Amino acid sequence: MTCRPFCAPFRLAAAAAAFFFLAAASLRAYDVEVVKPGDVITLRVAPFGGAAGAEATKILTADLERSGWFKIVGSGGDYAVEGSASAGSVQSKVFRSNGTPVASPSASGELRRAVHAVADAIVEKITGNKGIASARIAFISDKSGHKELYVSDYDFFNVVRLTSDNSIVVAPAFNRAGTRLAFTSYRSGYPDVYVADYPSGARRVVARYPGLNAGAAFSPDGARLALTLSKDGNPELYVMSAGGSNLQRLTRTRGGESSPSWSPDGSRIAYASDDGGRPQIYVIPSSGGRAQRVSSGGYCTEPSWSPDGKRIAYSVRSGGGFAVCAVGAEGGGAETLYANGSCEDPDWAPDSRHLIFARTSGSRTDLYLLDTTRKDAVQITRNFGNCTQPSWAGR
Amino acid sequence: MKPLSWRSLLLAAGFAFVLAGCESPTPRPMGSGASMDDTGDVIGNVPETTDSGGGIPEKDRLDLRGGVEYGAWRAIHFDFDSAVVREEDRGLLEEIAQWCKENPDQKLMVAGHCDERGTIEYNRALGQRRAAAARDYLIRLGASSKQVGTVSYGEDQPVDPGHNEEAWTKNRRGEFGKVP
Repeated sequence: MTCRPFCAPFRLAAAAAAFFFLAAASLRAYDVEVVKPGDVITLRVAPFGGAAGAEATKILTADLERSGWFKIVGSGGDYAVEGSASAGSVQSKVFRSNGTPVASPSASGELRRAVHAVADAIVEKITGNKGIASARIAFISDKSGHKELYVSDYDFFNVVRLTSDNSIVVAPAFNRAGTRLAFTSYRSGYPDVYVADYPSGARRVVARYPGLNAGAAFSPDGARLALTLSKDGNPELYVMSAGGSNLQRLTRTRGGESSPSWSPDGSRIAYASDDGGRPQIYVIPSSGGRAQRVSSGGYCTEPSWSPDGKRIAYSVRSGGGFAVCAVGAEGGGAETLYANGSCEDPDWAPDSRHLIFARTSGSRTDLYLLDTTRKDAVQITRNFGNCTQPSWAGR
Repeated sequence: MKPLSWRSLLLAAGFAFVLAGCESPTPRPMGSGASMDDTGDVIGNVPETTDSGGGIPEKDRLDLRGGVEYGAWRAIHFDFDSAVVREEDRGLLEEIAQWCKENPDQKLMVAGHCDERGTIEYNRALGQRRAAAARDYLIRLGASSKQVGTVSYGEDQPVDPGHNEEAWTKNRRGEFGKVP
């Protein structure tokens, strides 16, 4: 085979890739176990033994594949996992290709949740990054004929309905611990903000001022809520305790403010405002102060601050629908993360790698999970009415 | 004679504004030259703001336990992403304000709605601004601020479930309901 001139750069790139691959592999094998997005680790899941072995193998393989870090292989591989599962208990062992044991995570409880816990432990041990398989999601579905609040595992198993208001329930937001949910319900005839315990569903109203009370988000420590109120005139951004006291107004504009999302250290809040004409994303200190615009033009709403603090994702109007974009929290250009169908309300997963959002295709809306590194999205909800406004626990 | 101070000028201007407001409330116009294409995206000059920025604060909420009877009046309509009361709806608002003045013990709810093209929570805020713009207008025409309440449904209660311009035009609306 004759090599034409353009082959040379290719060979160089291949050599460089090989070098980096070897360097990364040796780092993984003998040094610090932190893997960067984009690295692909090959992993083999040996069929688990025990009464629930087959089911556990299936769930674990799906979890590890969906984590985005691994390419699941049938033989060989950088790592191998083996184990056993019975109802109520899952044991596993993780080895390197040379047979060195890495970890032996185990978990008990309901099978799917136990396997998710093992999957997250494997992700954390091998990559040094947080897993998402154990994280629950809250979302809204109109399946019953009314918009109500539901919670499920991240893979849409164990779906539980939390409200039966027969009214309109919207804008759910988990706290980081996954023990409470803030949401808006029109049960009183007005949009009011409630906080409910999870999983009991026991709730109390925390904002019922005249006009609009909506879109509350827990601060990272769970002690405060940021929300939209119109009690002083038009919709503005406020912060208060999670019980509804110590109300503080943050914005004073002629436009409307919506969709607050806290920075992971709780010092700042990203939100959407149309004070300057078209809605844009702004960041304001959570103790009050000057707002700074971080998006640049277009129709930008629904910000979500990544748990690692680095990026703010949001939806931007594009064609007849919405694309998911992200901008660096400390500046930098906007990047389109996904523009296939119309995607609204992105929310960062606890790993700061995945986003969940509501994607409309035709006249149906379902939740999709996007791996922002691989840029591929998988459908999560199916045949469950229209599913919207997803929110992760644990982020 | 002393020259007029800035303070008195401002007072005079404010008084003139109030008088004008009683006569015929004038919402903030769109930026000159701004127009919209069929997707609703503004082309040409982008307006500085799309509404009056109003919202006369509501001190108390009307009791809605007995429900609200919408339908005594037709709905008013809004441009895409706008909370500006349209010229053609001013006559109806005058009629409703008159009813408020003649029935001071009756309560009125204004509900703001949006089409499906915005995002859900942004639309909830926009619907509130639409309801507030209509409420402000009624109050400036003499309705009592304690008589009129607001609620925003955002895009959650379309009158037309279609996904086309005809449906969107109908859904961007303000509705008026008597509180029994």
